[in-house]
Amino acid sequence: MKKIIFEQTGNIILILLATLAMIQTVLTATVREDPIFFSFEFGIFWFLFLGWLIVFGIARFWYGKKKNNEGYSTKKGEFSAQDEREELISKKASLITFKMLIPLWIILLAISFGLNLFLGLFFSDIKIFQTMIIGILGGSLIICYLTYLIAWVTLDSKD
Amino acid sequence: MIVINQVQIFRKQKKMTQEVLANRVGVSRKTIVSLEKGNYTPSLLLALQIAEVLETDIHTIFYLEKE
Repeated sequence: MKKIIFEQTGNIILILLATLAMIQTVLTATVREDPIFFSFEFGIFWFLFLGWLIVFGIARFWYGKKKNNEGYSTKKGEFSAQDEREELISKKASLITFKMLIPLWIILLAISFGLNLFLGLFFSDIKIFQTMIIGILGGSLIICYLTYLIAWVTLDSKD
Repeated sequence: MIVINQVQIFRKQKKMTQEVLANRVGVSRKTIVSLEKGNYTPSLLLALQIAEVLETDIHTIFYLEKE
C-alpha cells in the first residue's frame, strides 16, 4: 500500500506543479502580431516543478533499489505488484479509474464546447479561458491519480 | 459455488507462521491473511504451491461449496 501512496502522491504533486507553471506562463505571456513579438515569464512554479521532478525521480530510483519495498518497480510505478492479489487490485483500480474518467471527460467536453460557443459572453479576457482549459486538463489528471489511489487503498484494506 | 480453504488449519498443524508460508510461496503476508479469511481466492498456481508447502493434496485444502 505504501508504494502506491508514494507513487500517486508524487504524481499528483508533479501534475499540480506543472499545471500551475503552465497557467503562470500563459498569464504572463505577451504575443504581438506586427511586428511579431513573443515573451513569457519562467515563473517560480517551473523551478518548483523541475525541482520536484528531480527529487521525485531520485526518490523513485532509490525506492526501486531498496530492499523490502513491497515489490515496487520504478518502471511499473503505480502498477507495481508484490503478488497476484496486488496485480488483481491494480487491475480493479484501473477499471474503476477508467469508469470514472469517461463520464468526467464527457462532462468536461460538454463544458469546453459550451465555453467555446459562448466565449465572448463569459470571458472578456482570452487568458481566463486558456487558464481554465489548462486547469480542467490538469485537474482531470489529478482526479485520475487520486481515484486510482483511493480505489487501490480501499480494495487492499477490504481484503 | 464458493471456494473454501483450510489453509489456516494446515498451516497451524505444520507450526508455520503466515510470514513463513508467504515467503515459501512468494506472496505477501497480507495475501495469506486475506486467503485464510476467505476474502481472496488464489490462482491455481498459488493453490498448488500452498498445497505443496503444506505437504497435502490440493483438494484437501481447497474445495467447492454451495453458497
